[in-house]
Amino acid sequence: MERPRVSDVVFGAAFALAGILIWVETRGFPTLRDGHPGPALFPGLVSIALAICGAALLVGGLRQPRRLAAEYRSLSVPIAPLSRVALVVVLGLLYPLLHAQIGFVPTSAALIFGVAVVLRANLLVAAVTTAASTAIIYYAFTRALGVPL
Amino acid sequence: MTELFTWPALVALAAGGLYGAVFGSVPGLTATLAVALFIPIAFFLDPILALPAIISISAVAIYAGDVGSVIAKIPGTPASAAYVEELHGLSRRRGPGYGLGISAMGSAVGGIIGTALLIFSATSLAAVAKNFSSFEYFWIAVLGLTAGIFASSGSSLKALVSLLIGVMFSTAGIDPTLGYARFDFGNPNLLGGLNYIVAMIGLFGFSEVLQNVFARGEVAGTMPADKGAPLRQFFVRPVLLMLRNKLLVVRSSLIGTFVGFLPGAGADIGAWVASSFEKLSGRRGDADTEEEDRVVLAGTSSNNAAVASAWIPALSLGLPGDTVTAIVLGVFMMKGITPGPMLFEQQATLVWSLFGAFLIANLVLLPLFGFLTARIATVVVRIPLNLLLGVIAGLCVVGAYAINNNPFDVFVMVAMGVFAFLLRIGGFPLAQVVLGMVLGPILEQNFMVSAIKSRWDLMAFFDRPIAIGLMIGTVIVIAIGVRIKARAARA
Repeated sequence: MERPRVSDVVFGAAFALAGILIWVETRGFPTLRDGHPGPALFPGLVSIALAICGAALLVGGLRQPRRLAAEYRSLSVPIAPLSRVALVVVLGLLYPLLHAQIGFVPTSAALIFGVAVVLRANLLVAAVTTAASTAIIYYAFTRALGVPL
Repeated sequence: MTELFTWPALVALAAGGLYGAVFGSVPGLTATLAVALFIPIAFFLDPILALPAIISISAVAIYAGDVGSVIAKIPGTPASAAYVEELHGLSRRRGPGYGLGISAMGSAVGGIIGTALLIFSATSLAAVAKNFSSFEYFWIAVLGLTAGIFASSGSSLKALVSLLIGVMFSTAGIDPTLGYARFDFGNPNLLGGLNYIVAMIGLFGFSEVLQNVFARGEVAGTMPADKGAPLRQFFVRPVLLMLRNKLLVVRSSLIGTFVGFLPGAGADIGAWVASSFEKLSGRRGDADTEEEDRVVLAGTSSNNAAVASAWIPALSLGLPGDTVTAIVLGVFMMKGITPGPMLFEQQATLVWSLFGAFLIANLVLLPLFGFLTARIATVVVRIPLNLLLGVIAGLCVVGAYAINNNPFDVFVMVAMGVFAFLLRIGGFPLAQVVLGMVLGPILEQNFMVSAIKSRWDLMAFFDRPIAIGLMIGTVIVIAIGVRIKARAARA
């Protein structure tokens, strides 16, 4: 039998809740002129299915409460790895904001160098790799393929 | 066909193949975009040069979509997403040259089988395609989605959840019945829906970066070098694999051809159905070490067969089989050529040149440029992961931005990456999300059209013989899938 996982309970609850919220949202969609369902039908059906599947995951996870409790107690929040992930996400989100201000080359270089630094690459090697890869990407897209950046 | 064996035509074919290889290898740049950007050049070229060049661009670019799967688990096309896990996995075990060799050889053979059917049965197959109405397309989408649920190696419930999430994503934007804006949150960028190429870069590429950053590079490790001489890895071993699995290649190519010639279905569904079929039926026991290889072989032979067969409705009926042939029909009009049954009589030289171009692209260009890209990939994967991941993150962002030159797409890509990172933690498969996003609109649009056409008499979905056949196919897939999952649970 598959081991119950805390993540199944958390994800199951999240998807069940998301399904219900989306279904509520679809109630406000208009119907067709003859009263038949229109834009609400498809997302409505999918949201119900999502809620049912989420509930099934939740119930499946809760079925063995002792194991679940033991698994929960052994969990610890990996703060340092999550901080690294958050940093890379911020770098990704900054790209479109900075791109318009300072252009492609410095923005891309900052992202590539940033990820390498987060992954503890040698700074000099990371700088050389960043310069080379930024130049290759820039010329490949703009000159060779004719895709503007 | 002699017009094809002139220097200008051969140079156009080779240049198109090289362009397709480079374009297809870059995350975010698709065969469709490659062909679209080629149009200004095609405008000034003779059709006998322009159309073969388009054929070689699309044939090689579809294969090159697998390069990203091998290096960074980023599929270049939705079709490649069908077997991305398997292709990346076997490339890690046996070297990138072997992985791309299976992809290229499978693509070449699939393309040749698709071309053979294009040559010998274009008009008769087009007549079959004409019998497909919205009811049949609805069932084709249901069949594809069902195959996707059971194709997952893990929990079917989680695969279903992933699929539902993908279908839900596909409902964002203008709805097909009333033009009502759904889930746009007042943002005009969402009116056109979520671009699945952008989503795919985030789901596979950016989430891979995040997962490795989380584990500080311990997830992926370094890819092994190719075990054996490059030519043996790329050509000999994949060809031997194909010889051991002849029926699989033929079956997958036929599936690809069948799905590919249906207007609007194309290579994506073909690859999904063929690789899912192999995942469901292909396991030969615990000693089986070639399971992943066969899944990749099934998917790649199917998607390139579909590239060729998508031209069947385009040439015979003037209906685009996929986005590339939709652009090709524009080129036809630009050059004053009318596609349809008369094309085969009035433009026989051109038509035979197209057939010849398909054969050259699959027999010569695909293996040649495939080998070159595999050699480059072999070098790229030797770069230390802490440096490579930065470049992959850069390519994800640039690739997402370059599709529409829209900064919003980068936000979507990053959001998808974070979402996929969470889904990975929960053990949810990612490929099913893409499948849902691709098939969701086909499913909804054809359901709504059929329902409205039949005045909401839902029994009409079970009236037509081809629709019933597809429905029975879906039931068989469910029965086989449930049986296999039950057997796996007992083991």
